[in-house]
Formats: sequence, structure tokens, C-alpha cells
Amino acid sequence: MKGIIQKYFSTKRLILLIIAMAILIFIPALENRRLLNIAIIALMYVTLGESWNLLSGMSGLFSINHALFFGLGTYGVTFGLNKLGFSVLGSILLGLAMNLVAATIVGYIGTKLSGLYFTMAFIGLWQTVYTFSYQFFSITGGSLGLSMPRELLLSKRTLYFIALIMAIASMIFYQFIRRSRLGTNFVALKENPDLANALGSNIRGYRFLSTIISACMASFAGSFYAFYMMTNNPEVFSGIISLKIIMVVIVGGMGHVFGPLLGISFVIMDELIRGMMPSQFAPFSVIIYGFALIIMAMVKPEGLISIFKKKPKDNGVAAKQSKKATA
Amino acid sequence: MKKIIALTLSLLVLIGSLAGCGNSDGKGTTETKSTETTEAGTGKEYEPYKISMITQLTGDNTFGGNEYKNGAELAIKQLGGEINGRKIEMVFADGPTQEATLAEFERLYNNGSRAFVSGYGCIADRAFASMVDEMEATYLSLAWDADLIQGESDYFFRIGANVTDFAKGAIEQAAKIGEDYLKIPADELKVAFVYNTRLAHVMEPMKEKMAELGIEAVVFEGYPTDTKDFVPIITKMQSAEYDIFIPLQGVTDGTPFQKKMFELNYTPPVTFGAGVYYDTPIFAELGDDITNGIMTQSYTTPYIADDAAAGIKEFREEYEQIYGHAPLTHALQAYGGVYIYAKALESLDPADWDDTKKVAAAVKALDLDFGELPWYWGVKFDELNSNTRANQFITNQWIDGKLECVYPENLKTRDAIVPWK
Amino acid sequence: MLNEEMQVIFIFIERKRHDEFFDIFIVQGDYMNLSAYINIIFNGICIGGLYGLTSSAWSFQCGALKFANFAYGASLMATMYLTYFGIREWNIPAFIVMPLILIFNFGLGMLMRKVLLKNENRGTQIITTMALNLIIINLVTFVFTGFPRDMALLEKRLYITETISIGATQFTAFCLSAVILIGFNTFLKKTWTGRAIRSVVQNRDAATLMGIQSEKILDQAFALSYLLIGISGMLLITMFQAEPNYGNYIQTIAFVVCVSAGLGSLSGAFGTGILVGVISALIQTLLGSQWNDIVLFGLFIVILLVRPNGIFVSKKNVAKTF
Repeated sequence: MKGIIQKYFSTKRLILLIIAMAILIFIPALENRRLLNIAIIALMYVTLGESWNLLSGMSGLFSINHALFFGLGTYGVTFGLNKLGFSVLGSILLGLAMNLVAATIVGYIGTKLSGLYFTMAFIGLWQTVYTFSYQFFSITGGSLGLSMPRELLLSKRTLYFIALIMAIASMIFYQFIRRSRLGTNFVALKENPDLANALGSNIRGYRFLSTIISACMASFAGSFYAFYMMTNNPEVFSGIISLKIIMVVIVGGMGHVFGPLLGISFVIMDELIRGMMPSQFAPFSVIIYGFALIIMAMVKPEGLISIFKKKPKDNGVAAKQSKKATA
Repeated sequence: MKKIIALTLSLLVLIGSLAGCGNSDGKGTTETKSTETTEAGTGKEYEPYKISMITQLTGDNTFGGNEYKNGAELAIKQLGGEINGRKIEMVFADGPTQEATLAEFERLYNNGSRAFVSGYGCIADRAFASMVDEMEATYLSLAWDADLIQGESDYFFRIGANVTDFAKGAIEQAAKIGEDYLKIPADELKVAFVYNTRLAHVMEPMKEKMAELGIEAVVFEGYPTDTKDFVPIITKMQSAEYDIFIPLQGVTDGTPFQKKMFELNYTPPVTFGAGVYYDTPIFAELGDDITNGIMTQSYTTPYIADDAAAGIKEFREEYEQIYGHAPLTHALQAYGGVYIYAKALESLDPADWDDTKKVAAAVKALDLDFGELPWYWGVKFDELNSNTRANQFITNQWIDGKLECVYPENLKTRDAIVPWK
Repeated sequence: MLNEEMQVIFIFIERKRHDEFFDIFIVQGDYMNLSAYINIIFNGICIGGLYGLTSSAWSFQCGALKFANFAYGASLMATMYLTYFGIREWNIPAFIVMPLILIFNFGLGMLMRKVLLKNENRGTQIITTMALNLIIINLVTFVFTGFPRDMALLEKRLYITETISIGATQFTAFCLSAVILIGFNTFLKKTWTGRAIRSVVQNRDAATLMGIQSEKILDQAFALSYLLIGISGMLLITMFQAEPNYGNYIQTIAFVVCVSAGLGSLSGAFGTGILVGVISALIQTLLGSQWNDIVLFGLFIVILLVRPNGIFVSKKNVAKTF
């Protein structure tokens, strides 16, 4: 036990951790609802970022409509609580089940086809679910949405702590998977699938598994969102949310556990600026997200986290490998 | 040694913040206006009372969102900017999406707003319906969802119409037109019913009412919002035999649909629209050939008879003068919402306005009859805070490029011409 | 004439729509006669042809040039908006607007290729073009507002018989699409640049050894495919209205068409486009319009699972890599 603690937490890291915890616990003490709100959204994006990180950063399957999983989690909870009368736990499980179905379809396609087709299938599935959520009013509440039972309203502080725990848990979970044997297989999926296959690794199975795990994480974030917003809305499937998730991870650093933590700086900045800029500039924030994403992806694919990482010895191999075309 | 000191210091910081956290009581904000500034008898200047609206000023529904903003502003202006000696003002925020609306709500609440009116689309009203009781902020909602209010509340009020009433009213109206003008009783009436699936919440009560009255829907088509090609639906309508065409459409699909019908040289026998598209100037732009004779069911609009509602004429004329185009029902809705606050605040001493409980109680106690407010509807809340006097709808007809009110008797400006010649 | 002699009575799915509390029996589609069907199918063919042209550009980019361009729909939508604003709002005569739009598209294609698509990593391409997609949509919303824009060209109908007709604009668009695609195909086969493009696509290193500047050729090819987008956009705006999210819809249709036809095949895209148009029209007629999107995209996913290389293409190892 002591060995593990010493391995993961050097003293420097431990101090940083404790100070971070202090800040995080201090926020609710300010009793400023707006800051709490911003913090909740930011922490939710950390969770979502970690889930995308797992799928794309670790396993190399680029999911461009990750909001699909997120939205299904929200819809599962609201549908279960509103229409079916399930308990809270039952509804969360319902959201999870719906995500499992979607992840199975996507994962199955991912095992058979390469990246581009995977993306197209994803978009097709997303479009279907998006249309479905609007059309079938009796099930999904259509464009109006369904209300969550009012008794389940949680105070902003409770929501904040739930979001905090979820974010920390997702980071620990990500790191745990990364350091495990499973994680190594996932990384092999991304780095060199042919070699891994030749070495006997079950590539198809691991693709499947990584999609499912990522979808489950996003599902929890979606279920949380249902409690935060107290309603559902087809907007949760929107492309803007997907863009935000991707941006958070890419700007922060893909493949690294603290990447999303750095990435949410953009989200926080946007929320703080809201209301200060003249209202005509609302679509502008999405444009800024997009540009940030493009610039980071082109210029600094390792993300902001690379500022903190020690630079490995550069012998030119890394540069050559990053140019290799992956189909 | 250094490590241990550093560790201990950081642990102390942690304990300090835990302690600070424990003292709070978890509710409210640090920036609430305290009531000390407005104690009666001090003779101090009161701060202007803020009524806040979060509406879609950008994004998909700019037109509607801005109409709401204009209506609210005009209301403040026509009230003279003050009531009982204390100034009132509007605070606007932009909420193009649900998440943005919630974020803006928190921000405005933080800055002291305690009185809210819905913005266009009322997109986050379900969230607010759950939240405002705990936050103690009055919220007047114009949302028409039938299941919006889940239980008793002291702060959340639904002041506008109910979608079920609207939908059922539309079918009743159509049936009445069939009986009065076409001489066909309701249970022999045949309709063609085409709707945009985003309006499914309006379609469902209509379907129920049609079943109840025995009306047969010979064509019953729902299409997704992004449908571009309407030839199959129109061809079906051409092949079928029916008496009244009932479209439920939005702006993005209504125009192509009407255009296509015109290109295919097909006019339904009688058109009775429900849904805001058929009231808009955008529809009027299609030209008299297409619009003449089309009837629509809508909320009370600024075009009802001048003597039906107090102040409707002034509203209409000043709106057109300031904003350059004729007002639609949206502006009137927002206008009405602010007027309800005005009536409630009038009954209170300005010193009490900062006590949200009193304001909410004043709103709840309102009893206004039809015609007292410019939007014609009255105000009387039932136990679930739904307005029971917002159930009067009107039927309009396009005649030579103008939208005229043809029903009910006390609000109409002329009779309908059915079928159109 | 056709009505009386060849009246065919179709009795469709008599659908019971069960509500929890009410039972309404609504018969879907009365007696629809043959000429109504023919009208619908003709309409589907014309629109499908246009979809085919639109999808062929995507097919070329993705299959032949191997660029994942997810900003495709947005570029199309931007073209439509610019055409509308040029002709209607800024009152520039049409014969000046058209070349300007084409130049704009060419430039956009070049820009994208030089900036975004230099990086060969497929994943990065997907993400950056997705971001560009949203940027374009929001830029258009910001500048032009999200209001749907319609050229309001009421088309005449060409009457073949009394009851069967085709829209004049639709038919012209269909013929134009066919002509342009044949032209593009000829360009690829017969001209020097076209052959250079094909050789670079087949084997880039060998082409470079033969003295062809591969990078430049690829730039030109990409920009040329953007010209196709420009033409499609101009044709589309004459028939449909433009709104910021139109691109997403077209993109998904392009997916369906291209995957069914096989990525990279231009003529296949045109034919499959027509097929999709007809199937879509039939679904709307037989099942009801609300099933259109769901059935179409459901079929898409099934095709992806079963025959990802294309329905009509023999099994090539195009899609099956890790």
C-alpha cells in the first residue's frame, strides 16, 4: 500500500493535490450561485472529457458526436422518472442501458470498419436518435421535454459536490485503466493495431470494450445533467456539446489524465464572459471554441499539458511517427 | 523536514476551507439587495425595481426573441417607467440555448433580480418551475406545456394559454366552421391534417378532440422539421377528398409547403391553420394569391377589435411607430406579462417590493377580468397557479393581404368569407 | 385518360394508431392512382439526381483523394447563402454572381487543403473539419442571422399528360447535374490534369517519380471538387430554402449515397442518389413522412454493417483496415 502511494503521489504532487482540494472545497463557501454554476458545468465537462479521452485519446477511435451518449443518459433518467415511474437508481440504470445499446451498435461498427466509416456510422446513428427525440413526443417529450419530479431538486452545493466527486472519480478511473493491462491494450489500438494483432491481442474486442466503457462514463455525466437541469431537451444531443467535449480534451492534452482539467479553462472563461459581451456575440463563443480546437490540433497536438511534461529525448522518431497516415 | 512543513501547511489550508465551508447555510447569495435600504419612512430614493427576461436574442429564434424584448420595453414605456412612485426597469439577457438560459438566470439572480418573465420559447421554464420556490424568486411563465407545473408553488405562475386548450379550441373552431359555413356536421367532417413533428405536443390534443367529435382525418401526415420536399404529401392531399385542411407548421417548413402547393396548382377547399406561422408577415410575403382566404387560430393578437381590450390600440400604434413593423402576438404576450407585474406591484407599497414573498402573494391574489389588460385575457390563478382566464382564442382570416379577426363575436372586426371566392 | 384506364387501387397498411385512451383508426392514403405515383417518383428522381451531384463531390474527396472533409455540408450551405445574398440582397446580376461563387469555392478548397488537410492523420482531419463545420454555421448565423432564406422562384410545371408533371426547375437541375458529372468524368479521363490526378490517387510515389508534382495536383483536385460543391449549392438554392443547419442534413444524405455507391465512384454516386431520392419519396408516401429520416438512416447503418464497400461494388479491401 505504501509503495503504491509513494509511486502515485510524490510529496510535490501531494501538496498540489491538497491545495487543489482546498480551493475546490472553498468555492461553495463563497455562496455565489453563479460561481457554483460555472464550477458545476466545468466539472461535468471534466468527466465528459475523460470519457472522450478514453475513447479517442487512449484507444484512437475518434468519436465526433460524443453528445449522443451524454444525451442518452439524460433521456434515460427523465424518461424513467417521468413516464415509467422508476426509482432514481432505476432511471440511471435505464440511461446506462440505453447507452449500452448505442455503444454496442457503434462499437460493433468500429470493430469492422476503419476510422472514417466509424465516424460516418456515428453521425448516422446520432442523426437517427436526434430525429427520434423530436418526433416521438409521447416517449421523449418532443421539443418541450419532460420534467423531473420536483422533489428531486438538489441544492446547488449538493450538485457541486456530486459533480466534483464524479470528476475526481472519472480521473482516477481513467488513470486506473491507463495503468492496467487493459489500458495498455487500448493504447496499442491507437499506436499500432497491426502489431498488437500480430502479438495476439484481441483488437476487435478491445475496441468494443473501450466504446462501452466510454459510453458508460458519459452516461453518468448525462444522468447528472438531468438532475442539474431538471428537464430534458433534444438540445443535449447538439453538435456544440460534442465540440466542447472534444475541445476540452484536445486543448488540454489528449491521452493525459489531467488534459481535460486544463481544457476546461476555455469553458470557464466563456461562462465568465457571458453577460459581459454584447448579446449579438453569442454564436461567437462557438466560433472561438472551433478555432481554439483547430489551432491546438494543428499546431500543438499534445495540448497544453505538454507545458508541464518533461520533454523526452528527441531523436526524430516521434516527429516521423506523428506524420504517418492512419487510415 | 521541509516536506513535513509543507505538508502540514497545506493540510491547515484544507482544514481552514472546510471550516469556512461549514459556517455557511447553503442558500442565497452574498449580493442580495438587503431590505435595509428601503425601509418605509426613511424617505430615501428607492432603487429601480428590476424585472428580468431571458430571451433568445441570438440563435435560431432571433425574431421571436426580439419581439418579446420589444413588447416588454414598450410596456415599461407606456407605464411611464414607474409605479406608485418607484421606478421599474427591464433587464434583458440572451438565452439562445437551455444551458445558456440557466446560466444567465443564475447570473441575474446573483445580481439581485427576483422577478422574471419568460423569454421567447420558454425553453428552460421546466427547470425554473422546480427551482424558484427554493430560490424565492417570482417567475411568470408564458409556456403552454400542459404538464409544466407539477405541484403547488408560491412563486411560479403560468400566466399564458395552455396548449391543450389551444389545440382543442382549434378543432372546435374548425368543426364550427364546417357546420356554419359548409353545412357539414362534425361527425361527417373530413379533414387533411399535416403537421411538423416538432409540434407534436399540439397535435396530440387535436387528435383526441377529433376522435371525440367524430371528425375523420383522411390524410394524417407528420413530417420532420428539416423536410425539404413536400411533393409526396401534397400529392396525397390532391388524391384525397376532404373538406378542411389543417396545417400545423413552423416558419422553415410552412413557406416551402405553400409554395409547392401553388406550383402544383393546388388549393385546398378551406385552410384552417394553427400555429404561429400562418399569422406572420413572412406568410403574407407569399402574396395574395396564396394567402387569401386562409384562416388561422391564434392567441389574442393586436388586431382584435379596438374596444375589446383596454389599451390595445395604443399598443399597436406605438409599437409600429417605434419598431417599424406591425406587432405580432409575441410582443403582446410579453407586454401582458409585464402588465401583470405592474398590476401586482400597484397593489403593494413600494417599500414591500423587495420582499419577494409579498410580490408573489400579490400576483397570486390578482383577479382581473377579460378585457382589463391590453392582451384581452384576464388573470385568475387556480391552486396550481395556472391562469384560468387565458383560454379565449381567436380566429383570423387573411383578406387582401391583411389579417382580420373573424371570431369570436366580441373581438372580431368582420365576418369570415368561407369558402373563399 | 390514365386515370380511368389504368386506375389501380392500392390499399395500404391500415394503421391503427393506439393511444392509451383513444382508438382512432386512420386509413393512410386513400385511393392513390397511378399518375399520383408517377408524379412522386419523377419528383424523387429529379431531386435524387441533385443529391447525386452533391454527394459525388464528397465521394471524390473522401474516396479518391482520401480527405475526410466534414465541413462539406457547411461549405454547401455557405454557398447557398452567398448566392442568395448576392442575387437578392446585394442585387448583383446573376451572371456575375455565378463565377464569383465558383471562385470563392475554389479558394475555400485551396485554403482548406493548405491549412487543414496538410496533416495526413485521418483523426485530426475529422476533428478539425468538424470544428470548421460548426465555425461556418455559426459565422453564417452571426452575419446573416438564422432566418431561413428563400429565393422564392416559383417554378413552372411541365405537363407530360394532364395529371403527370415535372417541375421545370427540378428537371433542369437534373439535366445539369448529369451533364456536369459526365463532364467531370471526361475531365478525369481525357485531360492531362485529370490523368495526373488519377495517377496521384493510385500511387503517389510512383506519380512523383514520373515527374508529377503530387502535392500541387492534390491541391488542385480538392479545389476542383469544391467547384462541384459550388455548382450544387447554386442549383439547390433555386429549389430549396437555406438555413444554417441545412448542411448537416445534406451531409448525412451524402453519407448514405456515397457509402451505398462505394466511396470514390462518381457515376455510382449519381445513380445511387437517384435511387435514394426515389426510395425516400416512396417511404414518405407509403409509410408516412415521419419515417423518412429514420428508415433512411437505419438502412444506412445496415448497409455499413453488411456491405460497407458499396452495394454495387465488388468486395475491395477499401474499408477493412484497422
